[in-house]
Amino acid sequence: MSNSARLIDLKINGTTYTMKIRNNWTLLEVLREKLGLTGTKCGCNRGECGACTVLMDGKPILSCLTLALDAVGKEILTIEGLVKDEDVHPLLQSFVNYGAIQCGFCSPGMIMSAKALLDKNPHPSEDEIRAGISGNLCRCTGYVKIVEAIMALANQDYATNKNHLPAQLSTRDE
Amino acid sequence: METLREFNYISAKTVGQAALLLKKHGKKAAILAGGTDLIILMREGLIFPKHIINIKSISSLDYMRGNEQEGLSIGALTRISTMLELDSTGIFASLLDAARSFATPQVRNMATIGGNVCRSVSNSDMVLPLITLDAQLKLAGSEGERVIPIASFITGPGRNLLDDEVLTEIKIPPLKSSTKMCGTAFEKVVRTSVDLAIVSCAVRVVIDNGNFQDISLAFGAVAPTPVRARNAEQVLRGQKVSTGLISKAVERIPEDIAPRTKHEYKIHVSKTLATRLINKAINRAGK
Repeated sequence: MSNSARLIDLKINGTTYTMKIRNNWTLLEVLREKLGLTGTKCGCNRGECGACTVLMDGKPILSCLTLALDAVGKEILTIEGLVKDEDVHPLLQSFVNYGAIQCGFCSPGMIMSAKALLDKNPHPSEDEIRAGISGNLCRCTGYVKIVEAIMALANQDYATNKNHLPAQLSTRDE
Repeated sequence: METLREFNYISAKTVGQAALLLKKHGKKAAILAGGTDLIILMREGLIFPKHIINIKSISSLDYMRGNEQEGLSIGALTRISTMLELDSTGIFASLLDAARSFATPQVRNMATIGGNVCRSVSNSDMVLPLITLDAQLKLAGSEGERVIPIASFITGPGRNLLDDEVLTEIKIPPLKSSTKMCGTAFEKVVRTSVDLAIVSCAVRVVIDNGNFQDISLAFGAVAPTPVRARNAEQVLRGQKVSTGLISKAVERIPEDIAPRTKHEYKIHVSKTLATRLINKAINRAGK
């Protein structure tokens, strides 16, 4: 039996990483432990909480149930891919503005699911938002602020912001 | 984070190659499609496959084609999220109902209909509508292909008729007569979307001149395998549609189901679900 490492290319956040991967490593393990991309979290490690959510070719998937080998040839987007220097994706700014982050553990996965939702449907209803994040559990917030943060973007012209243009770093006025 | 046990990993290029590998390694091999069941079973230490045969590399198994007149052919690797494209007003609406309530958005993007069928548990969401739609399963082994009705495929909890074979296609036949009105529905009782069904139910009705020309009523999570409520069906088949008759029919459901736990609750819920879904399917048939 051969579990020995094989050389593969993984495309993460637009960068191609050539690395040795063992068969039994999940994408989550590789992201966190081999690439140091610890934004993606390990919650339950059994596909029930969504904390490990990343986008594969634009679609939200669970990295804890994906073998790293099965990510070869795909475009993976993690929460780190939504931030570049001072520029943050409007979703991150909205989450901050609306108080949608408490402990923050669910937030990366939640934001990736929200991004995929808005990319596909720029003006979702509240029901559609709740369905879109139904695979991401949050133990802190009760979801209200999370839904509001996403709804705020749903009401804007999100479609033109699809490739995360820099947002104004301003706080919401009460 | 505990790493999975080590294994050999091969990406099969063809169904034939996958079948040969299954035959060669027998119980030591496992097919990997979406991985949303397999990886969990491996992580829980319930199975220890030494050889993982990835079949996502066989692109020809991912398709959905056909219509109500010709029937629907679904490749085994079709993702549940693809099934969300089904027409909500058509006769395959129960499949759409099941796909919509299947786990979570992330799992729907990964899981395949073939994987769900081959998992073969009593509350496999996609299996129930497929049973009521008389689906046929195409199985490919190293010696050739065979077609099996889905109703006989699942033989016990998590057990099925696969014999070193790969499920390649699910074929739903067209209705025998297109002039009849047909409606289907599926619903499951769960706490949250990510849970497995506590009770699930799928219905297909064919209405002809105000009569139940045909009815299929299937339940999940109330017996070791998905089960047809044949006694209830018998009350309705050939008879005039009426609320009173439906009430009489659902009283026969307890004869066909055998829940191991939460007995009274599941029986009560099964009858409620059946009534609701039969009426829903009748309404849909009328559209």
